Amino acid sequence: MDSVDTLVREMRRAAGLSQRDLARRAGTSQPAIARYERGVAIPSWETLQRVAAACGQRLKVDAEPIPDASDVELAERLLSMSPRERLRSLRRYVRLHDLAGGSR
Amino acid sequence: MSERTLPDTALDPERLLRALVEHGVEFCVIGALAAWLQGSPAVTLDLDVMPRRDLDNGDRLAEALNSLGARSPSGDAVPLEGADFLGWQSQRFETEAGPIDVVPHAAAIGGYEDVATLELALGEFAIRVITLDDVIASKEALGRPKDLAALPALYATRQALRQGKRRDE
Repeated sequence: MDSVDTLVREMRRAAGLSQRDLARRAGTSQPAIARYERGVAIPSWETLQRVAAACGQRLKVDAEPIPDASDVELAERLLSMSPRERLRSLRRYVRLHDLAGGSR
Repeated sequence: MSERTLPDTALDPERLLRALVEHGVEFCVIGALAAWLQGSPAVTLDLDVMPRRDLDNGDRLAEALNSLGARSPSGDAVPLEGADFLGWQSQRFETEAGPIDVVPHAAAIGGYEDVATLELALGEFAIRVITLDDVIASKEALGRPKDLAALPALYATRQALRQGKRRDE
């Protein structure tokens, strides 16, 4: 998950809480929770920890490399195909690989 | 028994998957093909499957592989039976539709009962594949050079999926 609005909304829903319930438990207001979920306000790290705890969750921070733009473009092209088309396109790649004398 | 090396047969993933489905094998696709089917641009030359580990399913898997003339990588043809798939060891076979790895348990994600999967329709049949997040978790945990080399394409696919999802919302 890479956006705070989605994180807050999904944690709240998974905990079966209304915005009002969550606000009360996390010591904030319902309009503040609504703003976080719409992405028009970003909670501080401390507030986000309280929101997570109120949903029975603990936050963790992770990092991953920024993908190469051409890899993303290629992935988007594959994503525009159906799974069956992707499967068949793989067969073509494998044939090309064999024609090019690639090793397995 | 004399040993001989089989000529490589190129992967025909559709034929392999169809044979498994037609024999009623309960399995999910893992590894690079699972990622490819979800949009990852990293090409793979074999199929990795994780079967449900029980004797009946092993019997069906053995029948499916026998129907494809499965042989050990050294070229030995041994008719397979269900009990051959009750262990935890990964096994590789060459078949008339290309190489297949049978993987009962994978690093970080566990076995058939543990993995998160999604169903993909492939025309006349459907299969289950592990989620992209599980493919990534497994590759990160394995950490072999070939796994690490696959990660950039997997991260790129995850980003493309997120961007697509945001556009759909």
